[in-house]
Amino acid sequence: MSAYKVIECDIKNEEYIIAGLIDMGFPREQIEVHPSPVPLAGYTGRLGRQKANIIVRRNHFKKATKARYNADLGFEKVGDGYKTHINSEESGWWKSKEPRFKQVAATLHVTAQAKKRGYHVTKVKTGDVVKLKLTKNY
Amino acid sequence: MAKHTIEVIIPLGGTIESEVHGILGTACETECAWIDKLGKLVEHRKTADSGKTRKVALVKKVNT
Repeated sequence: MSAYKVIECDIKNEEYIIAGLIDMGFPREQIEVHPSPVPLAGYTGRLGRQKANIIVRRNHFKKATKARYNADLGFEKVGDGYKTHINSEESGWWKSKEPRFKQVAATLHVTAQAKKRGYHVTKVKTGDVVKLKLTKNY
Repeated sequence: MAKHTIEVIIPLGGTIESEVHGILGTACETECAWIDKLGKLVEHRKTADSGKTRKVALVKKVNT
């Protein structure tokens, strides 16, 4: 018998978020990581009530989005997952980048879990699709 | 020594699709139970096997 499954999961690992941001073009040194959430700056530069643990500050973010006004981009740890904080001005940019961001996170997640279980992982990327081959002797 | 392979496809958006080859019977479900733990299982259905190799197809979604 075979099976077909659909599974939804949250990104629970900060390393995956950082890797996704680096893949977007942000240098690692521009990505802040805080054990406790710190305030995010709005498009005026003033710190607001929203907080996040992983942050790309607005001055770095502006170069990437080329938007006229930029707020900080942040990821707040909520429970065992993360909530994304993004200003409406950059929501279009985020919407265009998010699919790739999720793909990077999913790839790292599968790879890490497979290696933990003794699989040999071979990555083959074809166009916009990532292909992984997991092999194991038993 | 027996070998099994899981082929994983991850398109933009982070959906994870996988096919398992080389494991027969209930051992397939047992060996691949870890895949379910990558997230929340929202759909699971058994499909007919074809050929000599047992297959499991899995589709997963990763949300931020």
